[in-house]
Amino acid sequence: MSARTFGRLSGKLVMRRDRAPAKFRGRRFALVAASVTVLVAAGCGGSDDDGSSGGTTTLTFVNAQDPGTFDKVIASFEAANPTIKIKQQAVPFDDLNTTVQSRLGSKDPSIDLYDVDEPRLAAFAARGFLEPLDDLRQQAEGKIDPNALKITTYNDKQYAMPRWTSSQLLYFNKDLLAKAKVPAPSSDPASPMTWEDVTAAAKKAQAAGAKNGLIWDQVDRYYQLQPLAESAGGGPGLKGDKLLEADVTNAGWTRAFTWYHSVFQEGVAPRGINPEQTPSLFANGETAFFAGGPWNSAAFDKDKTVDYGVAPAPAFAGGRPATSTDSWSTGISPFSKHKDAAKKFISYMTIDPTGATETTSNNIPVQKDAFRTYLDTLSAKGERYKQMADIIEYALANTSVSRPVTVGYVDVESTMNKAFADIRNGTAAPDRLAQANDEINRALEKYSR
Amino acid sequence: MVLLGTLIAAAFVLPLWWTVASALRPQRETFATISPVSLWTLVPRDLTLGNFTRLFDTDFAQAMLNSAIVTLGTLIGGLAICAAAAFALAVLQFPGRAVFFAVMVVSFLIPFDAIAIPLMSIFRGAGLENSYLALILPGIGNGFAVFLLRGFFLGIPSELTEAARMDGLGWWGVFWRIYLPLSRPALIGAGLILFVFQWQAYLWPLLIAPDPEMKVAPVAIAQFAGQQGVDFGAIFAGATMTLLVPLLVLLFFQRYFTQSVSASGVKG
Repeated sequence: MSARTFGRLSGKLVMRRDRAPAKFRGRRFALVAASVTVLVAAGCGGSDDDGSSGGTTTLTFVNAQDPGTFDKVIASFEAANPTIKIKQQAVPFDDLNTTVQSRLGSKDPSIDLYDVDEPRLAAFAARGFLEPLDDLRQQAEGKIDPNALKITTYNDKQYAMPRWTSSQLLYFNKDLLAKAKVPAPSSDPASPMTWEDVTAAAKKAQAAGAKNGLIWDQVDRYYQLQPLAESAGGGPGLKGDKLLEADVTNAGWTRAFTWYHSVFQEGVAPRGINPEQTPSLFANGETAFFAGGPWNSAAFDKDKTVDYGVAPAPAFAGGRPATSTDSWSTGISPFSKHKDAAKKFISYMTIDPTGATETTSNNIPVQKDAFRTYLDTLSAKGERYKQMADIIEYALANTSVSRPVTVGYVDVESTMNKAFADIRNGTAAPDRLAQANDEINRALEKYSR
Repeated sequence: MVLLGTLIAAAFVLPLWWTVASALRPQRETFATISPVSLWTLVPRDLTLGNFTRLFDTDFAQAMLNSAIVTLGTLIGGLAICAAAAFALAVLQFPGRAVFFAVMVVSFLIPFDAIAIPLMSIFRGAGLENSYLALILPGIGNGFAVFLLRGFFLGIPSELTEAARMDGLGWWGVFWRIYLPLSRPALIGAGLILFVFQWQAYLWPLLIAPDPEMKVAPVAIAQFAGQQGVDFGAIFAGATMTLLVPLLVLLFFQRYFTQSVSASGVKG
């Protein structure tokens, strides 16, 4: 019923027309007009899903990287391909996977390309959220690090093209170690300290005035803590053909996380700190050792408060050196209407040496020529960066351990991240690992059915 | 009692104070001053506006504007719809009125996050993504606002309606010339509910309006927490900017809000 009809009917009911005084009519008109104007104006701006107009194709690229990361490669690609435009949709880092899954779950055709977190690739591919890119894989052979290509393969199909990889280092505060008369760790990539020695040195530094002895960049995250278990011989925490069975109670995991627990219990590492806050604790000069990635150096250099050195990531005594690796890749949505254009852009940003270098930003590219350029550029910045470049190159070739490629990775990661938080906050490692083992097995059951 | 009240008030103010103080100090100071707690935990040692400068070097101003447009649109559209619905449920007699009201009460108990994804598919199907309308529409039909206004309308003596009807006023006239002017505190209370719902909206804008031009303030703030580092200074500066608006609105309208909440439960 329209307002007018309703008005007429109500007028009949009282046998008289309802006429408001002129000033009320004026106000009413003004309010209705304002409401309509706002709502109509609000309706403007809707976009069409097709993304094509006047012979130009617009690709939507959803990512969670820092602003400006892709500006260079996009400008360069658009200059060479005037009929293709790239529109970025930046999503907050913590919400990328949820947002992409929600949108692709409703077959949203407005996403053409998106950032794929490599350990999540299997789950995304199994759910039909990624377009196979085997033709790009052929072009990439010999040009991209084979490990990176392998980690983005699921069921023998290439589901995304890797852009970057990552590695780990041990940062140390030169002043705090000198004050404690602790010798600086060697920067020789093949001679890492042991975690036991790091703990002892950290305690000495604390005794000499350091507020914190040691802290990790990502205190609660599987990405950085998996190598602890790997170094102690515990493996990735999963076993079986398809890695769908929990294995986090073995001797290696128990040793690694009993030690991890003790580091926090003894006050060598501070409790109750979020991963987002840990770099600040090293950057402000309060912490003797910081286990982190090459990306952390940018934040440490910014404030220039801390004079630091770099060493290879430590390993357990008698164990094998193990370092986190892998990073982000780019995938194409199967619901995209511009897959050919999207492949062209991915090919440029990952396989082409110029494009891969332009995409590098703060990261380590996996395209071989771009990787060499990255190392050379880093080394040219000075002695400390030369050491960093050598450590990165050695670690990627010799000590890197990827996260397990399995459809159940997300379940494992979220369960273990909670377990890591509990362990560092006081729960005994064997009990908490046993609980996590059961939780993972229950969560993974759905994939075996 | 006064001391207890002061302490409780201080406990509420403290996080707000710390947020503003952290927005005004260099980022390196933020966590360095937390432990041990000292005067410098609450007072910036080196006062700086750098965090705000950095904030406005990004598209944060556009995001604030978007939030303001969406909130204003929701206020206008939402108050019109919610007041009309509340009037119908409180004053008009029609079959199934109690059922309608019960459904509405249940609807506002369902968390919005639970319906966000199916709602997104409907909005996408209608071609509404990346529009202000898509951001505004889910906010205008607010069950709690209807509940609040209906309670207030029930407290208005029915004799007024009867007299107006006898004098020939139609239902729209009764609504517009009697109920709305008498219900200003309740309308302000309902308006504040609609305001808060939209001002802090996060998940829905993220799903339905991901284009950079449509970004709202809470999403813009979240983007300062990147994979390779968190710009706490910009986050605190952004939080300060976004909390100033509701703070001023609440300070200005708090008297009416309290009145509306207390009066809406009173039956005349």
